[in-house]
Amino acid sequence: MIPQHSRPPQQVPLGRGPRTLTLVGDQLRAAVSRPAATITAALVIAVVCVIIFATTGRSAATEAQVIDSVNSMGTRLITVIDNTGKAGIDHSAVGKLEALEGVEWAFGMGPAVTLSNPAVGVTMSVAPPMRTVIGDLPPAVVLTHGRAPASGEMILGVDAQQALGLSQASGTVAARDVVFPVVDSFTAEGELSALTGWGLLPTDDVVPLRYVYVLAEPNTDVASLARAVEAVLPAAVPGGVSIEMPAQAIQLREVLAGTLAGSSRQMMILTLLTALVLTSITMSGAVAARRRDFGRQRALGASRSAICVAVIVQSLVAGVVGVTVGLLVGLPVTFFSSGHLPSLRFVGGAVVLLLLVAVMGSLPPAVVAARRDPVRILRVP
Amino acid sequence: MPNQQVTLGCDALAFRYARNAPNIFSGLTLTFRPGSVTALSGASGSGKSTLLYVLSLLLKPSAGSVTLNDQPVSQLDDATLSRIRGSHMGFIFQDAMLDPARTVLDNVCEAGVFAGLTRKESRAQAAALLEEFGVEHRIDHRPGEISGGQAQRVGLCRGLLTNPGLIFADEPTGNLDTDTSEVVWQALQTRARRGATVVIATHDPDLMKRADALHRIGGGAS
Repeated sequence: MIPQHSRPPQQVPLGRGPRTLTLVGDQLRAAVSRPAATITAALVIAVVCVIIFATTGRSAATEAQVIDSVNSMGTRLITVIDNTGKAGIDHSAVGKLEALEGVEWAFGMGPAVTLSNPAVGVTMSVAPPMRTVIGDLPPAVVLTHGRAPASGEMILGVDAQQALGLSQASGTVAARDVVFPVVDSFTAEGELSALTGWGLLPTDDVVPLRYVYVLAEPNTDVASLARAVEAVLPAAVPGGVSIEMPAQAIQLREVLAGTLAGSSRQMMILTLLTALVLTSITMSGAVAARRRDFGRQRALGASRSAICVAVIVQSLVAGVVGVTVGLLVGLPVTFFSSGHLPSLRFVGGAVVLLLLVAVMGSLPPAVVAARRDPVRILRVP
Repeated sequence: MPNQQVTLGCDALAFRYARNAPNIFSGLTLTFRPGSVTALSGASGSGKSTLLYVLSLLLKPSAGSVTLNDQPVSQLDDATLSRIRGSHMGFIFQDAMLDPARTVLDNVCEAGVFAGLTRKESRAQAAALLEEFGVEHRIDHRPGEISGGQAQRVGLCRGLLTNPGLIFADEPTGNLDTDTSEVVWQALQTRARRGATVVIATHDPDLMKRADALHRIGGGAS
C-alpha cells in the first residue's frame, strides 16, 4: 500500500551545485588516477617544450647576443660638432643634454690646444693636442691608476703620453706657455678610442664647446634623441652646428633584430600550432577513453560546463607536468648546444604559451565530451 | 528522511529520438509519490529505460512535461537540470558504472561533488554507507579488485550518498545474485519508507511484485 502524504506541493529548491574547488580537486584526482592518458599528453607538451628551447630558444639566445654586440656604444653615440669654432655652443649644454630622457651620459670638449713637454724643451714632430672637458668623464675613459683629475689637472691618453716622451703619467705639460700638472693616464674604448692621443683637462671655467658627446641608453630611438638634442642645444649660431649619429649601424641593428626576431617567431608559431594539433588529438583519445565516466557524471549532476572543466583540468595537469619536464631537459640542451641560455622573459613567455596550448588543445574534445548524449553511454546493450 | 521530499509527475509525456521517428511512448500522465517504490516494466524496447531517463531529466520530452512537486521542470536549461539532478536525484545503474581508475571511496564520493558537498562531508557519508552495505573493508580498492556484487553495493552507496528525494534505478538487479538483489531491494524500500520517491525500470518479476505500484510501458498500466 502506498503511504499517503497530505503535505502541500512545494517548489523543489535548485540545490547548491558543485563547489568550484571541490570540482577541480576531484578532476585533479581523476587526472592523476589515469596516468597513461595524462602522461601521453604531458609527453607531447614536454617534447614541444624541448623543441622550442632547442630551436627558437637557441635562436633567441643568439639573437640577443648579436643585438647586444651591435647595440654597443657605437650605435648609440651622438656627436655634436661646432664645425667653424664660431657656433658658440654654451658650456651649459652638457647639463641640459644629461637631463634629457634616454641619455646615459654626456660630456663636452673645448677647442684643441697643442701640448708640449717642458722637460724635453723641444717641439715634437707630431705634438698631441689637449682639450678642456666639461662634465663628468664617461665610463669608456678608463684611468690607469684611478686618480681622477680635479679642475685644472691634466690626464694624458696613453698615446699622447708616449708622444710627449713621458715614461710615467706624472710631472707637467705645457700649453700656450701655461703649465699643467699631469695626474694620471687613460685608455678609451670604442668610438672614444681616438681620445688616447689627447690630453684632457677638466675645468670649471666657462669655455665654448667644440664637441659634445651624448650616449643614448640601450633601446632608445637614437634618431629621435638626436632631434631632441638639436632642439635643446644652446648655441649662438645654431646653423654652425652639425649633429652626427651612426645611421648605418642603427639601420644594421634594426635589420638584424627584425630578421632574427621574425624567423624565430615563425619557427615558434609553427611549433606551437603543431603542439596544438597534437594536444587536441591526444586529449580526444583521453576523452574517448572516459566517455563512460562523463556519461555517469552527467547522470550524477554534472553540467556540460563541469564536463568541460574535467577535460581542461586533465589537459592542464598534463601541461604543467610536460612544461616542467620540458624545461628540465630543454634548458640544458640549449645551454650545451649554444653556450647561452635564453632570457627569463623568453622562458616565461614560452611557459605561458605552452600552458595556453594545453588548454586550447583540450577545448574541442571538451566540447565534444560535453555535448555527447549521456543516455547512449549509460544504456547497457 | 531525504533532503527534500519530491513528488515526481509527468503530464501527457511523449518522447521520440528524432523529429521523424515514431514515438517511443506518448500521452503518459503519471504521478510518483514520496514514500513509494514504483516499478516500470515492459518488453525489451518498450521504452521503460527511456522513460526513466526522461523522468530523470537526462532526455527532453518531445511533448508534455515532467513535474517536480507539480512544477514543470523538463524545459529548464541544462545547468539548472544538472543542479536538480545533483541535489535531488540518485542513480543506480544496471552494471554499477564505477570508474575503474579510482578507489571505491572516490567512486562513492563522486556524487557529492555535483551535489555541492565538501570532500569531508562526502567522505563521512560514504564511509557510513559503505559500512551499512558491508563493503567498508574495500574502501581503498579499485573496482577491478572487488566482486560484481560488491561493485553493485558500491554503486548503490553512490546513488544514496546525497540522501536524494528521488531515486532512479535502471535494472538494478539485472546482473546480481539473489542475496545482493535482496540487499538492493531492501535499501530502496527502506529509503522509500523514509520518504524518498523510488522509480525502478525492471524485468525482474520479483521486484514488480514487491513494488508499491507497477506501470507497464507499451502495455497499459496497473
